[in-house]
Amino acid sequence: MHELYQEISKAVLEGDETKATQLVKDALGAKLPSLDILQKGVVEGINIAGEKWQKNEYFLPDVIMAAEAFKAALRILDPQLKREKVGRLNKKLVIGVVEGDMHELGKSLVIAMTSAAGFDVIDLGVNVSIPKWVEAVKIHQPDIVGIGAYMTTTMLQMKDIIAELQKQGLRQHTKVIVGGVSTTQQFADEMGADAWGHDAIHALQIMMKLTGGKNG
Amino acid sequence: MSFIIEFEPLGIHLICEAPLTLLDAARQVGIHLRSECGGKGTCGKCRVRFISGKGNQIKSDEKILLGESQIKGGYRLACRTLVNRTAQIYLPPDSLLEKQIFQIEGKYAEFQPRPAVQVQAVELTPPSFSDLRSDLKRLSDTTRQFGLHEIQSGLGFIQHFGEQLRRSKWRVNLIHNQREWLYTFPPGDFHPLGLAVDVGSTKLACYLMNLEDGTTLAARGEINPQIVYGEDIMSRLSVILKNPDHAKELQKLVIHSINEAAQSMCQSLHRNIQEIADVCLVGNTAMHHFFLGLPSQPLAVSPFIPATNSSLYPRAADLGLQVMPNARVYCPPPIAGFVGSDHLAFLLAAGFDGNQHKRLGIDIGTNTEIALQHNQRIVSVSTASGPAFEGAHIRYGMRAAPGAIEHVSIDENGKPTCQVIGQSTAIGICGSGILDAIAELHRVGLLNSRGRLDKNHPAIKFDPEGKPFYELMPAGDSQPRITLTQHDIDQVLLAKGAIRAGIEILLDYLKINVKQIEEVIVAGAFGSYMNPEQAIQIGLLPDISIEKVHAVGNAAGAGARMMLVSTEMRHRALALADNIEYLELTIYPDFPLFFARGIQF
Repeated sequence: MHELYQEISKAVLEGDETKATQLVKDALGAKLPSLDILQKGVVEGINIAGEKWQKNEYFLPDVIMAAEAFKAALRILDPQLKREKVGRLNKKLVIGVVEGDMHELGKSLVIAMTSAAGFDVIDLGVNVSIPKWVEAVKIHQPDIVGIGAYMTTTMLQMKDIIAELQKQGLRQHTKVIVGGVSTTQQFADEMGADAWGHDAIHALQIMMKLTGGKNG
Repeated sequence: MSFIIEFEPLGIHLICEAPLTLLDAARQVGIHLRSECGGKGTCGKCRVRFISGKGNQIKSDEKILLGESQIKGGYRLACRTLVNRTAQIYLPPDSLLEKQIFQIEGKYAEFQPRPAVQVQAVELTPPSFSDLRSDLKRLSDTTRQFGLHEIQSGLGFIQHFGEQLRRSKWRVNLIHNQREWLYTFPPGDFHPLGLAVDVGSTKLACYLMNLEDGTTLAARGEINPQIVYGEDIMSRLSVILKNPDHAKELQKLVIHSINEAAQSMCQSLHRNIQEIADVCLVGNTAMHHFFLGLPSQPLAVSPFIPATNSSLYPRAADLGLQVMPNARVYCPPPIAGFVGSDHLAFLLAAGFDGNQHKRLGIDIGTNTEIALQHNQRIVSVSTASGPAFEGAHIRYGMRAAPGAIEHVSIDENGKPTCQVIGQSTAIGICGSGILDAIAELHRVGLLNSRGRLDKNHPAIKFDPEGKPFYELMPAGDSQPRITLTQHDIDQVLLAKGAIRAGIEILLDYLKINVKQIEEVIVAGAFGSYMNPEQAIQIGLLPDISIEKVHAVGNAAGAGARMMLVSTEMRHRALALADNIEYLELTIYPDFPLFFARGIQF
């Protein structure tokens, strides 16, 4: 049985979406515990991909493909996890991309890394308007709001989003982290964010720190 | 505190740790400025201009050598100018020992000129007590005989032409554009000039043409002066978002440069700038909007809506162009927010409106536009490929100019052989050289299929931080060591991935197999130098036979020239524009996977 976890991990690591989903289905069919399939298989794979990326053995395409395989595997696993009410980190992340910006890629890497680490991720998608940000924070009361912007022209909006959250008194229990290719730490400071992540792995590390370590 | 000095139009930069003169900075990166006095500040030959940043206070001896107007224009002597912060410096051609030119030549098919602007020589009967017709009536009665009865007269024309009539004793050359009278010239041989302009984010290409026979009389390639407001379109748009007043400044800068280029081309031919009777300007949609003063904010955010997709023909003088009074500027229509009239001009020059081949047109620049033609359809996309293929954001990158490594081969032991443009010492590497180097590194096994350098190979060295790089040329007496770092390679692979993703998505969208493609037309300076075999080797282009790949140079400039001298070409361009469908890449299904696969070998 141990073998199946390794195979899942390998399929995710190699970005083989079809294989990863099939193997997860096999594992569920064999009545393996869903939390083990998740942690020993799917998460293990994306984590190794992340490490290899950081060590510069992997490049962006490898990570994109691993993230896509991860996403597909998680889609199969998710209903079962929810049914079993397997609690994980017990930390919530609301994430999205600002209005006028349709870039999906950076956000999906962050989602892969954070959900692998056990965050409950609520994905608002791309082109998210200020009222939608506010509404999502009100409803989900997340530990962290992750705002992505991938163009010099759209990243300025972060300031207004953060100011609006502040105005509505939604920042006491929620930290704001921003990211995207054109952003910097200095920019994040100017926007009034709590933190900045320069890539998906760094963002995860920062979020862990913001929420007070692994188990909250 | 370190700072960066960037030399344009070469695109070479130097990272400095301590204050130094611009002459020393140029020497350090291997640029040879004219300096007959050896840097003593007496010959006045090493003139440079600040694009951005500034140097030390100018002293009186330098002031005398430069003169008032040059100082006003931002000129300094490189040997007398001490710099201690980041600056961007323009090197005028006259100050350089080797001739530096932008590659702005472009190919187009033969065609018959049919200019909008025409000259009609007339002789009017002078007025008398028995003939009290007004000047205008007298003129139109005469021109009617030539079939020119529908031509309108604007106030600007009426204000001027009567005086010219009397001065040249009622014999004049009348200039019209088939809709309105533009101007009058003294009688005699007169051949009107035309100006074609291609405004790119980085480069401004201007062509002076004989409107009657369609020949190109002079051409100038300049840096787009808007570069002080940011290197790429998005940064310029965000400057305007922050402060809308900057839009006027961007407009003024580009118009000033076009005037200067036109003025200098006319002077070299002993002609007057007012003899330019027609202008055609193309550019990417943002450049087009900046030039015309159209609101550009909607271009800054998705879904990137342009203000117009019609052709415009405003008066040149209203925009500040110093050409013939009453002349107009023909601006062909943009296609979409990120597919401009330059793309239309490219497709026109490449013959996309003619026979319906299955063909691919790629204009490689900071933004790369790609069009795929299949049967009746033409679909275009735009992709933010970044400036890596123009040598920007690469440690020793530069534009294709003398001193650039343009071709590289690497033997089985990992030893490189470099070919340098124009001279024996290299000062940097341009896009085609970088392309070769990466293809060769991959071929001999120094770069794996993930695009990582093989850290165990003896030819791969490490910087003090432990980051791997490959040495292309060792340091010499007058040249720096030229290397290619892993970071450089990553930049190129990302650019390649963006372009290849665009190609693959077009093939997917129109359901064409790559084997069916009959022709691949590559435009842009990089495309002219690039080795198609290597482009296929690294996967920038799909696997097709290299005979099908054709480089056409600055095809947008060629298309602008065609539209300048031929009304038929203007009509054909409009029909072509109606036929181009725009496809948005970022929302195409599975875009991340297309991009990921595009990056890999």
